[in-house]
Amino acid sequence: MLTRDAIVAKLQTAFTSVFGADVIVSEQLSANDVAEWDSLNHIRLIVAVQKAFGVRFTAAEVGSLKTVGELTTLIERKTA
Amino acid sequence: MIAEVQALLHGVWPNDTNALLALHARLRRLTNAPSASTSVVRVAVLGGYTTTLLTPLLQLFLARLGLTAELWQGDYGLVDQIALECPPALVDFNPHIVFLCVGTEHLDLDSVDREATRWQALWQHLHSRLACDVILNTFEPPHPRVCGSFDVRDRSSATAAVRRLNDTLIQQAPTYVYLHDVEGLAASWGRSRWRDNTLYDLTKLPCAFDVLPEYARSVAAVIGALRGRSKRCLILDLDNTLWGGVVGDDGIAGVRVGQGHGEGEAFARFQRYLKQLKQRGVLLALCSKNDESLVRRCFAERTEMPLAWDDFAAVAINWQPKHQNVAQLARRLSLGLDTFVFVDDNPAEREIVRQYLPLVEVVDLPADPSVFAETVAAGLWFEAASVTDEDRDRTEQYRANTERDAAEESVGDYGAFLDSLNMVATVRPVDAATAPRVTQLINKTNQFNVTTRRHPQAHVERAAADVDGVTLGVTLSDRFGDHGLISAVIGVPATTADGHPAWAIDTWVMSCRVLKRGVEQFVCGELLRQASERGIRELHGSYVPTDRNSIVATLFSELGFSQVAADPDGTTRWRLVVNADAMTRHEQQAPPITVVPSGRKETEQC
Repeated sequence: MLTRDAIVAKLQTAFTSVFGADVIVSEQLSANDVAEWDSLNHIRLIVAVQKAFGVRFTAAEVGSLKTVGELTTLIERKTA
Repeated sequence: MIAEVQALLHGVWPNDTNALLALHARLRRLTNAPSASTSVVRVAVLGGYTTTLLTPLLQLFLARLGLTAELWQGDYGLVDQIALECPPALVDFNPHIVFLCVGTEHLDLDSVDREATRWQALWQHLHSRLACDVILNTFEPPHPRVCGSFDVRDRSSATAAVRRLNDTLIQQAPTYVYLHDVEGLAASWGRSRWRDNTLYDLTKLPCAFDVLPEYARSVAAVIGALRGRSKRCLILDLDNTLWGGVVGDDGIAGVRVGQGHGEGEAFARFQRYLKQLKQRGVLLALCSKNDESLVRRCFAERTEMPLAWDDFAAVAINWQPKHQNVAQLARRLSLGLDTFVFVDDNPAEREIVRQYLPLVEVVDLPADPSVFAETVAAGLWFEAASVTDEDRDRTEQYRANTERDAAEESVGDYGAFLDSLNMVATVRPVDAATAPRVTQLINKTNQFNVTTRRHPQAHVERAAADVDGVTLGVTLSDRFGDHGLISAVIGVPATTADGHPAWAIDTWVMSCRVLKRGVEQFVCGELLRQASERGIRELHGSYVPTDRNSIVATLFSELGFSQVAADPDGTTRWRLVVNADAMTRHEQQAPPITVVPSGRKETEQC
């Protein structure tokens, strides 16, 4: 099972594919911190994360996410 | 630029949506700056769906076709309102094309009749207000089906209603409406793969995230067809491309094609596909390292093959390097290299063509001949805007040209050659019968096109109705065959410096099939004659250079026009005074073309 740190490290690749290499992923990071993180880039990100971890999120789960920490918890639960 | 985008796309093809969107962001500079090798197309996208992820992909795939897309997006979900209102911002944008990005979610299927009336009203309104073409999707049957197979028979089911609606729209769509077949696209991908309901619920995207590029590429192909960017000619290898085995080694009886075994069936399937392409007006040409007489005998003896020798408009069967042969085929067919698609099973031959002729599209054939047809078809190179009778006869016309070239060689003296052609022309103003072909010619012709202005049919019809202007549609036939309508002119009212009436040549196009036949002198003579009859004092011409129309750079000068201006963008402006001198000079230089009254007029007189 992946540790939270390993999940965050793997998330960096997904974030980079959408926002470029300038955005550094941490558990505290949220959409408010990144100018380009609008609703459509959010979807691009979610698709990239689903692919990277081989998981699927429901509409409710996607809607409730606020920070990378919450995303990490969700991935932890789905890959457990 | 096309080659640059092509190379960049090669790495991320086919459907890594995120990578393509990132590429678009990097290429913004490229896609926003029209260069010599591109032309601009203005597309308004009215979305019932969220179109913000689709439009960058559309722009990217249009760039690959050499089109710089300027996009205008309507507010989400306001398709009907925007189409019926045509707000000033949309009118000012002056779109060539309005794409209605809508689907089954936006229908009220309780009444198919009402839906059919709704879409007809929208396209009619858009077209009459904006003189644009309209792209409307076909609608997908809902996924999942409610009860399974019975849905198709239950007239009240959404599946049955969508089918009836599609049929009605297809039957009623006028020529300015292009039905983008999302229904067919979704079916070929599989509806469960095409749709992603979770994502739809979140975002209202038109399809699953991973197939967005396919959606965009398919719309781009339709727009490309409307703007004359479809490919015209498929260059084919022979051994292990059209049949299994090597005819030089295995012999005529030994090559595998036709019924009886899997490999033969596979190549026959590919040949049947190619035959259908040919019937749609795509030219087929052979480029093979082989012995031509052996190949001819192979086609003559293996009559079970779907393709026959006469199906090919031109052949280059010899031992020269393929890129040289392809370049030569382009010259012989008077087509640009960017209208060619090259198909060869040999990766080395593909590479040499890619290296030397980057404008040629090269198809990477897989090892399995059973999927050759779908590999070629997947490129969407041959999306058609319409099919006219000229398309169906095209191979015949090109074959006749090849024979004519042979005649030219045997005659030697060019004037005597032209005499020997027994050319017969008809000239008449553009009318309802010829407007579709004239529009097609205007939008497809890249070489003999003085201004490269593209016009929708409505514009052509308006120009034809303008009593102060002039339109000409010219047909030509000769002893080898009938070329059909091969040249068109739109002259708009203008004035001379001292206030007398003049005609400005807004558009003059001619099919390259009839180059160097004196047709341009003939058309100019006709313009002069009609101008003189109608009290027009001057003809004004302009030449707007593109990377493809250098063939007409000196046209006006050759026709006796004087240059009056040269614009910074390279456009040159020309004037010919309509007087006795000009008429006499043109009569003396008139080519040996006999004018006959057009068939239609004769019928009307009867």
